[in-house]
Amino acid sequence: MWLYRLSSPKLFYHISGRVIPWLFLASITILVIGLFWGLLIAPPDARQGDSFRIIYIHVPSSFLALAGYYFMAGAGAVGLVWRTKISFWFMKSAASIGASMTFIALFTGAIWGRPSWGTYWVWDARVTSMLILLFLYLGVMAMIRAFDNKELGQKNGAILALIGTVNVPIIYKSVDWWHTLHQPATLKLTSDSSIHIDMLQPLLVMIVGFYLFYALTICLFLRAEILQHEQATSWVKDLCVRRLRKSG
Amino acid sequence: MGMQFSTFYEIIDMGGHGVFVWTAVSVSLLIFLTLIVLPVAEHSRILKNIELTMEFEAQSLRNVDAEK
Repeated sequence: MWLYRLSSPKLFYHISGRVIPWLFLASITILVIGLFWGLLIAPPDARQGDSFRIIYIHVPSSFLALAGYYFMAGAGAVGLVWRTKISFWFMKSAASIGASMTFIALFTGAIWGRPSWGTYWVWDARVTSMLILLFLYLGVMAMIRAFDNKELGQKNGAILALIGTVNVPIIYKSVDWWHTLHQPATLKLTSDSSIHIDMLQPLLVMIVGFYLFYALTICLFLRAEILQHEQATSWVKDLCVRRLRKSG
Repeated sequence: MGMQFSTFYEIIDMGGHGVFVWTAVSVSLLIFLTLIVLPVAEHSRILKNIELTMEFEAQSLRNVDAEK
């Protein structure tokens, strides 16, 4: 029920306005702690030396790139079924942020590949499927903006996002299904992780920090989106009148 | 568990891997910064636009009244 009420643009706008300062404070603090811990305090890797420290950005950004795709496609599906406007705006926001996360994952992976694989880029299953994910994100972003009829663009964007979800489990499983240069998963839900506890703790901190930052940016993007679409409504006008009076 | 590095140079160098680690970190932070600045700037641009339109409408209403 609360989720349904939150789908009112006005209510989301007001609540997110209250939450954003806290999200900002929490995500920045946790990211700073995680970076400091991971980059300077965690022990170096026995085989890779200090270059492994890139993991503290590479793994969390990959997590968000994949989870963010489900958030985006899920919002698109909700928009298609229940026709809630805010779902499509969420989808649009998630597309921009997800594309950024995917780019960070690919970029840090390429940089990490140089000292550990001897090359910036390989066309192996994991790397290639991640590149496809980036193109899917960019495709959804372009599709949403490609039509004069905004509603049509949003619907087509949602359909493309839903079709693209096939790629996500392929990315997850790519290191098991094919012989790849990419190392197997560091964190597993179902069995012990292949990483020492001293290295794992800052990684978990970074993942929490990335999720909070993701929530923060979703709120920021979505608020701009709401304002853009609702500027003719009375509540936005009231908001502006109050702001104008405050500033004199 | 303490710091792995004892001097500032060691932090920058990271056993020869510093250039990779710090490039990855700084590019990512730059993108993070953009993810905050872009929507905030867009938000205030839209707000300002709406307010300008409202002031313009109020002004023209007053002009109409004055002409009467």
